[in-house]
Amino acid sequence: MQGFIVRRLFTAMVAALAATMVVFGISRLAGDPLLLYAKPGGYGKSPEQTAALKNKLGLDRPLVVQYVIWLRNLGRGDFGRSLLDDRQVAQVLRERTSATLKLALGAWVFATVVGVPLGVLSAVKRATVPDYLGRGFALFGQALPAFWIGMMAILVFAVKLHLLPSATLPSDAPLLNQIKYLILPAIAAGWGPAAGLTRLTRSAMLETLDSEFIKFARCKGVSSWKVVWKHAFRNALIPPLTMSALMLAGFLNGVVVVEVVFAWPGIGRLALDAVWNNDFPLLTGTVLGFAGLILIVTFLADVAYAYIDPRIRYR
Amino acid sequence: MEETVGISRRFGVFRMSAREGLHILRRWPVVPVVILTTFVVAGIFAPLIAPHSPYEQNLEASRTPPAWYAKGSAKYLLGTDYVGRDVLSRLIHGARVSMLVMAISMGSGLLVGSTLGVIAGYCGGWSEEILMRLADVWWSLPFLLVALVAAVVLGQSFGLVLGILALSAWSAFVRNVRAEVLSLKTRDYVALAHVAGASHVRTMLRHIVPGVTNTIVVIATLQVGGLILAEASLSFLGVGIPAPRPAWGLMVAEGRDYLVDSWWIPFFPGLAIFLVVMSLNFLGDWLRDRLDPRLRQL
Repeated sequence: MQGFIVRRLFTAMVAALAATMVVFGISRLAGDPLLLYAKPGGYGKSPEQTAALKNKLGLDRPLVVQYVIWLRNLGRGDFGRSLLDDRQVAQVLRERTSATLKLALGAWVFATVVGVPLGVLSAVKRATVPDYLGRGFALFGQALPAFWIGMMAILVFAVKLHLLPSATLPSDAPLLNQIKYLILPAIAAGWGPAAGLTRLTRSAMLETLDSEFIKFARCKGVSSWKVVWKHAFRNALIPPLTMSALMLAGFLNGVVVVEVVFAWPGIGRLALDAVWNNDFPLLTGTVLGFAGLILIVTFLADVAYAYIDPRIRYR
Repeated sequence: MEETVGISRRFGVFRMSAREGLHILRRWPVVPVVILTTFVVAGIFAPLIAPHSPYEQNLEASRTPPAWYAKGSAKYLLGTDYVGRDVLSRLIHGARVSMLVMAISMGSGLLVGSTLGVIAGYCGGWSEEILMRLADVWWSLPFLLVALVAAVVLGQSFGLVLGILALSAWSAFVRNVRAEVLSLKTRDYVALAHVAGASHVRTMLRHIVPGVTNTIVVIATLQVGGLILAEASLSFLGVGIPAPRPAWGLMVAEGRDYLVDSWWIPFFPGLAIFLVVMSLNFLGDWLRDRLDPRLRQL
């Protein structure tokens, strides 16, 4: 187990390093990188400030040294300052994280609550109406773009039926009131993962239900409820859980899009604002912060699954 | 009496053919193939089919509803967008954009990924170790966000989108092709090819590659839907395909501000994305069950 954690941690570190390299590499692809930090005549940087920035980024030194300087600053938690309002990027990021985590958690809950039971039902009632419904949902859900579901949900539930608010999350509202604002975004972001989970749970359950020990339990006269939930479900749970680590990364990507649709005050929205404002330090900070979040989440998920299923540790 | 017999017989015939029809629908992916054929034909012959130019603006007819509305016009079957461009024509030309993304990004990802996968599986040793670790790390990078940075630094362009998507496509091929090659490598006929004096390159090309073609086809079909969704997301965020070009994701984004009273602007492009991706996924599942049932876990 410890060996697995060390190995997995190593991969995560390499991935984090690779992410910084990719971002750094891209930022140096376009001519003078100083232009990314201060547009000529743009945000009113004086020549002195520009010179100081040049010195800080080490633009007169070799590329490798520049990278190391940049990385060292990142390691200290210094992501630079936002160009638009000159605030510490790390500070801005910290303020926005909680909204993204709320949305991610809501979507995750939706995906699990819908996906897993539907997958089990679909497998148990194979080739009947519930199965066709489950398979239809799995097929439909994975093909629907999250931003489109979000917009259509706004149109139907907020504009036409006036059931739920479409707009953004008021941060000062009490927690219980916030849930109302969370429903539509969470469903939009969780739809795709729910479909994926349905599919995985279904195929895993089918495989398990077909195995010898299930037939034996049935012969022994174990009740059908117990066979499904106690004997089959617990064994079938492993593939969906392992795969969901990979799903989670793609799912956090989807959160960015949904945040834009619902004007959600999270990191994804922040990244896109940074794009539109040409705020390069804020953008790199956000992207790296998001990448870090994804790496941490997938790492924790992998470790948790290795703990549940010993076979994973030896792969 | 005679008439009832006639009717029941006619219904009997009808019922038979309906059952047969259902049987064919279950056995063959008819609906997805029809949708994809429409999509491909629309993409290839876009300028010939589309009733209008996708760029032609008509401000007087801006936000005309679809033809079945009282205010709609037969000139614009699916309505017009906020500057009076025909939604149907833009949809048809958008199919071309999606097809280019599929062909170029998937094609290059497939070529690079499969080549590396065959090399990793066949050669083994350190090259395998390095390639697999690289694929692992690559897999865990958030591409949507990297694409944001690239769009700001390099400026938005069609080529950039194709490049980013190609970069994100190859790693799935490496993983699965390698696993397949590992098992093919130990077959007798590969050993016999060696005995017969075939070089490593020849063995790989003539004896290994044909064995992994099925796997490659299946993975490509299963992956390409995700690729289209990724392109749509990028375009929706405004960092994908640059503005006047009719990309479906971009059309949805352009319709966002007019959602409340012109639902057709974002609705139809989203529907098109959904239909194409669903057909591809369905076809992928079907191909996998036919060609390579071992990939079921995917």
